[in-house]
Amino acid sequence: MSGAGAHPAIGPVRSVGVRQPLVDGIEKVTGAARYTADLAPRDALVGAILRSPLAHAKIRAIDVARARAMPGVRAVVTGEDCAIAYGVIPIAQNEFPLARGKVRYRGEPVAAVAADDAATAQAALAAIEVDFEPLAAVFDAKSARADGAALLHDDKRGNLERSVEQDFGDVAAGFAAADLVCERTSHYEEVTHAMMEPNAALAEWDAERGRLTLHSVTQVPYYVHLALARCLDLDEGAIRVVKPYVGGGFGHRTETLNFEIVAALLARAAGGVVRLELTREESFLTHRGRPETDVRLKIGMTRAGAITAVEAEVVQRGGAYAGYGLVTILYAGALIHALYRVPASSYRGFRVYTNTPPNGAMRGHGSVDVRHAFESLLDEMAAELGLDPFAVRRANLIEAPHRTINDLQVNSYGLGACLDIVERKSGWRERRGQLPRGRGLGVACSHYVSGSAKPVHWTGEPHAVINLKLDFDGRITVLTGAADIGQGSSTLISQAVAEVLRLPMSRLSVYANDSVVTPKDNGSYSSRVSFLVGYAASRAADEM
Amino acid sequence: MPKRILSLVVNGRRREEAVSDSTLLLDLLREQLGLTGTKRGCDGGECGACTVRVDGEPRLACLTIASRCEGASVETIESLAAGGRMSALQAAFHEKLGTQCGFCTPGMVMAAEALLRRNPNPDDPAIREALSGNLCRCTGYVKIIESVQAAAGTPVAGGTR
Repeated sequence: MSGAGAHPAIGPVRSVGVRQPLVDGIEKVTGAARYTADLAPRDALVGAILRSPLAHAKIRAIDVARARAMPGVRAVVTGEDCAIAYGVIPIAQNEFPLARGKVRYRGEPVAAVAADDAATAQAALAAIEVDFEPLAAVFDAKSARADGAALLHDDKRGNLERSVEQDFGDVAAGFAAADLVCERTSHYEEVTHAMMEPNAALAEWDAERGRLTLHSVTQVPYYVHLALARCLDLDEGAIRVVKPYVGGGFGHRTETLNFEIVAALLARAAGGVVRLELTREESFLTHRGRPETDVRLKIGMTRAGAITAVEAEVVQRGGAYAGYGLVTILYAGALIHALYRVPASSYRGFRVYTNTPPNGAMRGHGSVDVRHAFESLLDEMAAELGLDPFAVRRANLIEAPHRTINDLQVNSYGLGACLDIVERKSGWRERRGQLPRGRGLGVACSHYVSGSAKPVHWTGEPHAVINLKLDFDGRITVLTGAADIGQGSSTLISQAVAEVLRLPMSRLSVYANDSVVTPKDNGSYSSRVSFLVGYAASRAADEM
Repeated sequence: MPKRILSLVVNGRRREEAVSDSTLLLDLLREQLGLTGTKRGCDGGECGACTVRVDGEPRLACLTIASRCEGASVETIESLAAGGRMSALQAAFHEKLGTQCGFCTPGMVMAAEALLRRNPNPDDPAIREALSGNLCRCTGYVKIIESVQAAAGTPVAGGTR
C-alpha cells in the first residue's frame, strides 16, 4: 500500500473482449482451491449410503437396530426419516432421498449412517438388514411400454412419465410440397457427465439453534436450499447453503441430488458435522445423464434444399424417477426449431420410466440426439439432391430477429457467417473427398436457447441479482449467487462490472454462493449465466 | 489395524506419521497432512487427479501405499509455488487458460512438472504421452497442452529441487 490517502490514478480500462485469466485461476493452479471434500474438519463424522442391490423390489422391512447399537455409530437414517418427496420440477416430485416402500433401480439409496470413521460406517452399513421382495423389472423403454409390464409408479400407466404432442403449421401440405421426403430411425446410447469431481456434501447441524449449513457440489445452490427446507421441514432462513469450488457439472448437478439431502438428514440425526463423499461408482449411480433415446425423423425438402416440413417421434428411457424428464422430452421437440427455418412440424415425445438410474439434464439438454439425427438426415438428403452439405444448410437460414412457429425468439443469428468461416478455414472445397482413407470432413450445426426465460418456480422473484459493495477503502465486492462450476462465471461477472466502471478487474473481488451473504440466483444451467447474470452485473455497475 | 510410524519428506518438510499397512499415500496427504491440493477423482488409478512426485517420478497417490514411501521425498502441487512466485507451469496454466473447473489441474501440473524436469523441451507427442493418464472433462486438453508448451523451455522456477 502507498501512503495514507495517496491512491494512484487509474486510467479507464476495458475488460470485455480482452482475454482474461480466471479470477480464481491462481487458487486452481496452486492447489489452494478448496472443493467440498477438502473442507471437512478433522472431527467430522463420516457418512455412508446403503444402496439397493436390486433394480425393482418392495421393501418389506428395514432393521437398523444392530447398526445403531454399534460403538462409533452416531446416526442411522432410512426412508422413515423423510416422508416428503422432492424433485426439480414442482409438478413432478416423486423421489425420496432414501427409498420408501419400494426401490426402483439398483443403487438407489435405502439407508445411511454417520459414524466416527469410514471403517465403522462401512461396518454399520453391513449390519443393516433389508427385507426385499423382488419385483419384475424393465430396463428399456420398449419393454416398459409393453402390455403387462411391471409398473414403477402406480399412477403411471404404461410407465409413461410424459408424452408431448406438438404440431405447428401445415405438416401435410409441407410434405406434399416437397421434392424429396426421407425418413430414418436412429438409436442413441445413454451418456453420463463424468465430471472430474466425485459427489460430496458437508452438512453441519447447529443443534442449539436448529440451523443447518450445507456445503455441496451443486450447480444451483438455490434449488438445494429449497429442497433442504422442504425435505427437512425447515424454514429457509434456518439454512445456509455454500457452494465451494466445484469440479464440473455438465447438468449432473442442476437438480438437487439425493446425497445432499441425505447428508443433511444425517447431520441433524447425529447432531453434528457429517462429511458424505461418494465414490466414483456412486457418482455414476446418481446419474441424471442423457437418456437412451430412439428417434424417428422425417424431413421434406425442395430440390433447392429448403425444408418444407419435419416430423419427429422421440422415445427416451428416463430411468426410475421424474427428475427433469418432462423438460428433456419437451426440449427434444422444441429445439427442432430455431437453428433453421422450419415452416411446419409435428412432434411426438414419450418419456418412459424404467428400472435404471434416473436421467436428467446433460449438456445441450434434450437437444443433442435429435440434432444428430437431423444433421445426418440433412447430409443424406443433400447427397441425394446433389447439393453440397454447406449449401443445404444455407438454404434454410433464418434472418434475425425471428419468431419460430413454436414461439422461440431468435434475436441474433450468426450461423450464416459461421458457415462461411468454417468452410474457408477447414479448406472444405480443396480437402473434401481428397483425404486419405479413414479420414473425412463433415459439417453439422447445433444451437441452444440461452437465458432460460421460464424458471421452474413461478415466484415472481428476479432470476438474477447482483449486489455491489463499495467500501471506504475503495474496494468493490461483487456478490452473486451464480455458481461458477469451472465455466468461468465469476470471471465473466467481474469483467461485466469492470467494463462498465472502466476499472481494472484487480480492483474487484467476487464473492459467490454463500446464502447468508450472496443474493438469490437461479443457478448455472441452460446457458443462462452469461446472458442473465452478465446483464444484471452490467446494470448493477451502471447504477453504481 | 496396527499402525507404525512412517518417516518421509513431504514438500521439503520431514514428517513422521502413524500409518497402517493399507494407508494410501493419497489419504496420508489429504487426511493426515491436510494437503488437499491432491485430488481424488476416481475409485483407483483411472483419472490422474492425484498425481504427485515420489523421488521425482510421477505417481498416482491413490495407488501408492504410504508405507512404501519410507524415506522418500514426496512433492505435491503445494510445493511448486515458492517465495510468492508460481512455477513456470502454474503461471502458464493460469495465463493460457489451461485450467477450467480446476479439479484435474493439480494432477496435470504435477505430471507435466515431472516431464519438464526430465525433458525441458518436449515435443507435442511427448507432452501428450506424459499427460495420457490424466483426464480433463471440461474438454480443455488443447489449452492444457498449450500451457505445457508455453512453460517448456523456460526456467523451471519455484520448485523445491
